[in-house]
Amino acid sequence: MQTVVANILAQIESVVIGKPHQVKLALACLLAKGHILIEDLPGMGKTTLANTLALTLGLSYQRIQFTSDLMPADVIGIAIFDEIKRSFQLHPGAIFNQVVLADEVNRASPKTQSALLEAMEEGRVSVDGVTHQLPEPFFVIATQNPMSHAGTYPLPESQLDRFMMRLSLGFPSIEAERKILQSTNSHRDVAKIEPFLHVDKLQEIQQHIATVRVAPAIVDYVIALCRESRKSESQAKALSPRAGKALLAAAKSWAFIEDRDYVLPEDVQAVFSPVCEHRLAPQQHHIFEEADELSQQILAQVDPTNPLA
Amino acid sequence: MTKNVKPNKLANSIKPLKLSNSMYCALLVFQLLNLLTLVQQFHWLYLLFAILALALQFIVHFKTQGKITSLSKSNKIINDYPAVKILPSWLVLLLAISGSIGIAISGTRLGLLLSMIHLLCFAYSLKMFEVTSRKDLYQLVVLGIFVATSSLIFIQSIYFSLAVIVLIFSNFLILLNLFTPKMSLLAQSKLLAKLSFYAVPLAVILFVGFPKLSPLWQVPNVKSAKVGLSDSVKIGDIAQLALSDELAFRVSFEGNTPQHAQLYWRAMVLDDFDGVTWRQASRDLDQRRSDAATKQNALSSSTVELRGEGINYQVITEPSFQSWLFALDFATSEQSNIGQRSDFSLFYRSIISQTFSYQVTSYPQAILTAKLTKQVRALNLALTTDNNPRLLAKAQQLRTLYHDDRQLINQVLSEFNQQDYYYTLQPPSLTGNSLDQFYFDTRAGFCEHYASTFTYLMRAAGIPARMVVGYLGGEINSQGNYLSVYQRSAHAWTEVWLPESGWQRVDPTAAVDPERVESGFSSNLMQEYADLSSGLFSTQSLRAMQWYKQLKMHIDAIDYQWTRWVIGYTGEKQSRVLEQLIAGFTKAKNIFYLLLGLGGIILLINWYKATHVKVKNQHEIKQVYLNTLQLMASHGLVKERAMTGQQFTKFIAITRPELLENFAVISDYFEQFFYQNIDNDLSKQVLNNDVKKLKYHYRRLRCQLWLAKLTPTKEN
Repeated sequence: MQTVVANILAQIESVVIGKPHQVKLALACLLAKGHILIEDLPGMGKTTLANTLALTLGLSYQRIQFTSDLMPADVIGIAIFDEIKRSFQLHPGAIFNQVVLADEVNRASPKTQSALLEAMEEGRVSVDGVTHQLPEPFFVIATQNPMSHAGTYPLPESQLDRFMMRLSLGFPSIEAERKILQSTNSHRDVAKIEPFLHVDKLQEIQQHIATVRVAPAIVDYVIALCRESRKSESQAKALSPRAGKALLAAAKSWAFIEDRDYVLPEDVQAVFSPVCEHRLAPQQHHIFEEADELSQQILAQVDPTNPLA
Repeated sequence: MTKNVKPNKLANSIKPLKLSNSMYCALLVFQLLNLLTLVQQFHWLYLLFAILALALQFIVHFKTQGKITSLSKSNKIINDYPAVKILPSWLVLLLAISGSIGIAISGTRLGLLLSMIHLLCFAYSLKMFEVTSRKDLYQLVVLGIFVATSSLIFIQSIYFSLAVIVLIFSNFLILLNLFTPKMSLLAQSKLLAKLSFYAVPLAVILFVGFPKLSPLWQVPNVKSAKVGLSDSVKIGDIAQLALSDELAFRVSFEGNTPQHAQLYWRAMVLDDFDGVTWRQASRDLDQRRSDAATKQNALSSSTVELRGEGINYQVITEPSFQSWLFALDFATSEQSNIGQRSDFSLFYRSIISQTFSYQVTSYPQAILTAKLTKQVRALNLALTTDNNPRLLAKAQQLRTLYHDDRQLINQVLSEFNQQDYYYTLQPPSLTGNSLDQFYFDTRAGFCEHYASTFTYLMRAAGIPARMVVGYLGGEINSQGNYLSVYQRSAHAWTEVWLPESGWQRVDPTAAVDPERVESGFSSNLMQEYADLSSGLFSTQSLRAMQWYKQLKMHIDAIDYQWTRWVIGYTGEKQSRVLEQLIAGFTKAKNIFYLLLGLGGIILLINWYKATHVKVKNQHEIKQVYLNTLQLMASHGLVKERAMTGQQFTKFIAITRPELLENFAVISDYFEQFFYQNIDNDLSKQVLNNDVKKLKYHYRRLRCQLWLAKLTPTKEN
């Protein structure tokens, strides 16, 4: 199983050059059944990462480009009257795919955003009073531009909470940038990607991750971190129990990728920033600031060896 | 390095024994200590040999140690090394043979026991020269234990015994160290204490139940510099003895303790006086009554008429290396190893070389020898007439004045009482006709002055009289309810024979210093006593302090119980105790219920422990880890708050790699225990062991850190 994971990582890294850590986090998030929000400037490889992930995992995949005039029906689908059957039939929208890439999600109107986000949370959609189950597994990889950019609608805090992780890729290193520039058409590279996994295999992995052991000491650590976030009197928001759950799930997944069947405090620390920062500081105005300042502060306050002391 | 350890251990049984330097040193130190316990008994030749052998060993090993340490500095590995061949084996053999022959030759002088002990110690000294295999080491250790144990034959005081017992157990440290070389000394000592503790019940059972064989050897008649009465008394002897604080014997009465003035402990009767020295008449020695001192004998004897109630008491005497025993008149004892002389003093049929305990019944009102044989009468009237003429004249004069013996005696006593006679520990020295000089000129003396003068006077006046030496009184220890009689209570008095009433005790000292008889040393005498024995470390000023008295009494009481119950636990007593035990067992069915109840309690405790131990141990492991972090922090290796255990271990690996040996063990175990093996239900014992292991590494780490702090840091 670990070799599969290693292969997946290697393949994605061959396309998304110079960002192994982010790639690993993204994979961990998907294996933990979480949705990802990738936030960065345009042209940093957000879409490439999302594409590659979906293709490598061998899942059905559709991309929706969010624009300001995008309608909820464009995402979910629309019920049209079928004359032969004499009934309304759903014409499924882009969301009826296992991986949905919601590109530039903050460009759409809040109404459209919430249609997507409700589907993310429930795992199903209702059209004209009929509930339709979304495929399994179901991932949303959303990308967004930083808030300061023109023509964006910031996601509300309650909806940000639906994303397990928020990642930002950041500028590549000199070496990576050189590789990116020298490589030929990146679109063709993406097209060449072959799926490494089948749905069954993916679910098997996900089940396996659920069995990763979490020691009481780790739970204590997560609790201590959450409590620490509630202590601070700055503008930071407190971490909810849902955040704690997400943190544990992500840590388990991370431990699995690290080839362990038990969680260490290191795993929690590794995923803490991407999982918690967007819950602590929803409005990130300056992308070039120290991106995960608040979460680092909280981490620094808790002793993993003796968390609740 | 760790990879190399295992094959080494396996090969140990084949390869020659290799020991570390500390092991060799321990062997030598323990040899020294073991031999020291017996040092008083050794012949000077063996002593010389043992000292030389030990010195040689020490020198050689210190030299090798120097070599090894210089080597190990370059190699950074401390190696064990095989024993250095100091003497060629033929020389050892030669020494062994010649030594054995030497001991055999001197055997007649040393006695069986001492020659055996010399042989043992000789072997012990030589064995040290050929410790080449594990078997040799075992032999050496066991020999050492045997040597230390045999010292208990000679000295049995509780303090010495305790010291020897500790030493014996400590000897096992050597073996323990052989098997657990990586354990710290403290952990080894703890283990040793635990093992010794386990051995205690077995030892108690063996002590109580194992048949006590009487020794096969004759304990040598060491005329050591033992303080005490001797078989002859010169004037001034007892005053000397009165300066000694040594214990003579102890007595516990079954009923009430009699008055101080009644406690005349008779030791021996001296009836031969040559003008200077009182002795036991040799004729009397020949006539030793082989009769046992039983009551039956006394009843059937023509010389004794038993009257009144008997007083029962037990006497435990310290080794005097003489044979006389102490008792109140008239004493009977049912013990077969006790005899009675015709002067009614008791004696042991051998030499008292060990603490000896005996049971006595005394009849103070008995009439002794109502009729005197001619022979005995002559003996007790015998005088060497060529000395002390003034006393002889005085006796004649008294005789003419008083026809009645009793009147005459009273007259002499009242003269002592009314004229200016002094009772003193520092009598003026006497020359020539010493008794004359004392009686008429100096008029100051200790009990033997008065007793011998009085006896002399009586004999000169035609009254059969004899001198008795022994002890007067004793100090009651209220802690243990027994009486201690010290050498300073030594006393001499007179017995005169009167028609009809037989031998009567007359103590002229009572006339001079009644307080001495009534309650012990008077304050005047105590003052003298203090003056005489004050020195640089005077215990006399201490003596005045109440707490010192209390403490001494407590210690003495412990010592008494030890002597009474452990040393005095003879074969005879053993069979009695066992009988009682067996009778008790068969009688009481309660024992069964008692055992049942005990078993239930033990089960309950175990159940409680088994169910509650895990949480405790988890805490303990965590505590050890946290303590370790604290320890590291106190030496400047602070774990940042957010650092996880692994990260800190890596940090240590980079900054202080030498600490990793111990620290990694603790931190890895912590990681494993708290994050990885959370489902494993480790048993209590495993956890306990692990905690111990972690604590051990913790201590090692502490040591390492301290040492690092002490040694100046090398700039690399």
